[in-house]
Amino acid sequence: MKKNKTLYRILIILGFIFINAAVVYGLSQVYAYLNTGADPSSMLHLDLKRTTYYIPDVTWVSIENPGRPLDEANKQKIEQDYLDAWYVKNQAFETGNDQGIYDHYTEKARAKVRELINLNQAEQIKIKSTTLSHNITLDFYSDDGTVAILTDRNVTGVEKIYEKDEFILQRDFNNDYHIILLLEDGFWRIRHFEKLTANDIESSIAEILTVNTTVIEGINYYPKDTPWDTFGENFNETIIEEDFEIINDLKLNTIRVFVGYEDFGKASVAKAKLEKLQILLEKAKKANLKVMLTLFDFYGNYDIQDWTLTNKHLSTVVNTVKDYKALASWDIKNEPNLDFENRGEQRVVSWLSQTLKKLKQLDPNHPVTIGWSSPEAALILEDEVDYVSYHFYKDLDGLSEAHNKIKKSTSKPIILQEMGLSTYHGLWNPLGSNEDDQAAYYTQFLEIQKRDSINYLSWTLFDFGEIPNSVAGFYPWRKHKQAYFGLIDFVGAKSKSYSIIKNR
Amino acid sequence: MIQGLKHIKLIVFIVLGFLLVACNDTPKTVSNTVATGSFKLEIPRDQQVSSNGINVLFKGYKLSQLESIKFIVSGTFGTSILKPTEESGVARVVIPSEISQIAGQIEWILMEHEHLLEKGNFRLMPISSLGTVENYLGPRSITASKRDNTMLVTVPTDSLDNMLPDETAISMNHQFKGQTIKTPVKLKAGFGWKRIAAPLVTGRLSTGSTVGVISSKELVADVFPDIAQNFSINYERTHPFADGNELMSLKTSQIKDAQGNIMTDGTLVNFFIVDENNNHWQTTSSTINGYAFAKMLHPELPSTLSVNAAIKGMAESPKITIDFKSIITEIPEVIFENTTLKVGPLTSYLGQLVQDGVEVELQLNEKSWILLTTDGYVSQELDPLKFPKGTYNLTVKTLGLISTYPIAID
Repeated sequence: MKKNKTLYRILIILGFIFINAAVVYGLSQVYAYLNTGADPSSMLHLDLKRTTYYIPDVTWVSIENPGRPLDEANKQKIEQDYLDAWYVKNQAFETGNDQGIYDHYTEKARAKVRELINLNQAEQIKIKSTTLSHNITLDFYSDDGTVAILTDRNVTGVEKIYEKDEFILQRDFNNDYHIILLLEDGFWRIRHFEKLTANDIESSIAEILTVNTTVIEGINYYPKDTPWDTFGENFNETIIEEDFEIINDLKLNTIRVFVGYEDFGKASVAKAKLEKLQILLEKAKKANLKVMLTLFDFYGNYDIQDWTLTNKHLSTVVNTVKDYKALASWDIKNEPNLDFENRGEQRVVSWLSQTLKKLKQLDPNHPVTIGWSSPEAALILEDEVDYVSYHFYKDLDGLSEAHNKIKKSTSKPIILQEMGLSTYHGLWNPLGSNEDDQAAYYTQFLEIQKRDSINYLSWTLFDFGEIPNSVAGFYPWRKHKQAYFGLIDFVGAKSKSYSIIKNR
Repeated sequence: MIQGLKHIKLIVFIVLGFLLVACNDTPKTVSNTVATGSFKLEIPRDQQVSSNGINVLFKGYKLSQLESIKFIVSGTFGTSILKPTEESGVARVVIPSEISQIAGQIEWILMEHEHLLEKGNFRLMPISSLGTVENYLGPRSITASKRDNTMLVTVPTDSLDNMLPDETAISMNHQFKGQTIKTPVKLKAGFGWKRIAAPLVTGRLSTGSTVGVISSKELVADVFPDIAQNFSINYERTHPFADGNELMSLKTSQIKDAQGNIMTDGTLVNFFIVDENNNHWQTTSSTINGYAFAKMLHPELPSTLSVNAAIKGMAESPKITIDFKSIITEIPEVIFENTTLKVGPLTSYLGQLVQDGVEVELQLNEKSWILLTTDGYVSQELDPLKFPKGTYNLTVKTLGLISTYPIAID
């Protein structure tokens, strides 16, 4: 009885404390809710920071004009507002939402744009389009700086036409335009716009390069402690040098290195990253290694509105490193076919195709490839690349057949860009392969390789400690598998496969 | 018989070979020829814009295939997809007014399913009926000098708001003080322009343009005087005495620019005043009809002021000096009654009492008072505890004069 009393007391007191805690918590939530809302600094109406969303190549052919001399600040302002006019129009034709048209077209021009958008809306026609280059000549700039007349020649771009959400056609264009802009309310607005001529589209891509025929024997390279972050904070020249010595020891001639799109700063490429890439290329040259540079790693948007940004990124990277002796070839994107499901094949392939064209313009001297993740996908865009690349992680028994199947369908050189076997066996995969299996795998592979004279790059030099979620996802069984592909383990011990490759 | 067999073999080989070749070629060519064969388009030529749409007729077609035909048309502002319609045996695509009334190059593509049948482009040119003449004038205010000008830009349009073709004749006109100048200009790239030199007299300049029978609105620019030339200043006062009471006025000559245009009303003139002890004052006035006036209080102490005036950054006047005389020659006797010191009466230049509030400083040994006159007098009571019996020296300072008197306190 007494025991019960004490128990009741305890329960009542605990209940009391709990109810109080709940009430206090509830009140605090109400209070917190009432304190949420706009950031107080928004009262100040500070200028919104301009982000980069549309940066086609713009060349000012001439600013000589009989009116007022054009100064740099106004030139930039005109260029910005004129490009914005294109951008909002492209957006409007894609979404049917005419936001921004008001700011960038005068009343009469606005009506013309709206009419056409309404016509397309009624028929459920959607146009995704972007321009890629502009060549602007200033015809006239009035003395008071409120009228600017431009001719924009060879405006190249692409439009994808959809009807009722069904893809109809993708079309390149190359047009000349005549534009009259007025300065109203601080905006340069389009008053008149006229397509002067529709030029012929340059038949794509320059002549196919003769690709160096020495057999490529290489390896995919990340430093041991910074996988998927070669050019990060912990970039260290000595580590790179030491690693290249190991690769020399393996008697390999090529490495494949990855340039991350976001890692390098998207459209405005970080100088520091480029400098590290340049150092790596210098070191590779010293070690007598050729570098296959894989671009746009972890890029996944492919949308047409993104093209000017990826082109900007591309031209900065390519122009910086294209003259380095160690550079052997470009790989536009690693395993883009894995994005087919999420983004749609058409969207990914058209991005690849245009990026490839742009890359050829920037650097006609190095061969270009795309790192397809499977032999089945290898022949996509076969006519545009200089050599065909694919990855192979399946049973080696199927390799020869897969390789020869591709060989029959193309006259271009073929590279097996990734292959390897993970030695992970443990909690997440108790029946996984071990070091001996890997050694057997490489022995078998080298046999096939010699017989079919396959160009190859194996995956990879090191076992890695930390795998970023962005690479293999969140699941530990995938992460662990990914960590154990190396020829050298965490502590630096060389596996049996190492000597097999070395003594091939 | 054997020969016959040989023939048959040969024929079989030839037929097989032919079939092989044919099979290889078929997929691409067949679809193309069938399609282009059954669809003939009356290819549109360069023509004028139209607000009623443009008909593109099919010369030969199969009704069943009409469904799968798409006509993709891309004008200046954008692209659209059109479908052919069939009416009383005539199939056509109508390019709607949204596209057909805007001048420029039109690209078109004829597609059946995903096959491209034909493509081409043609030009839409402005129509001859005129719409409006838009004028842009600027700067809207200019100065009457050889250095300045304004500019007139004309963009005439047809009735569907398209720029007119090159070589269209326009007349760009301006008028100033009754004199009209018409300049014939040929359009180039859709616009005409003319620079109008600033007249050397102030006034209002009006402009306008005409194309054929259509005229623009009137736009005006104001011609303001150029920067001011140096000017002179003068002063007016009722008497030359430093009484600290009277106002004198400072005054500029009529301020003009180099062409003799009177400065705009409201031009600010600053007057800078310095006395012989290097004390500075400043006063500001704005011009009316080129003149600026400023008022200034006479000083209390006799002094010589030097004054000059300036319009900031443009023009200034030479310095003038203004002398002020003292209103009295000596300080009257000090009266000491009971415990009160009294100085007065202070009189002015006509013998009249000075105005109230003239400053008088009394100094008795270490102690001093600053007093203000009332009815010509100042007075100060002395505390007998602080000033015991004896003889003191009293110093009186006022209106620039100083006197010392012995005072005996009993």
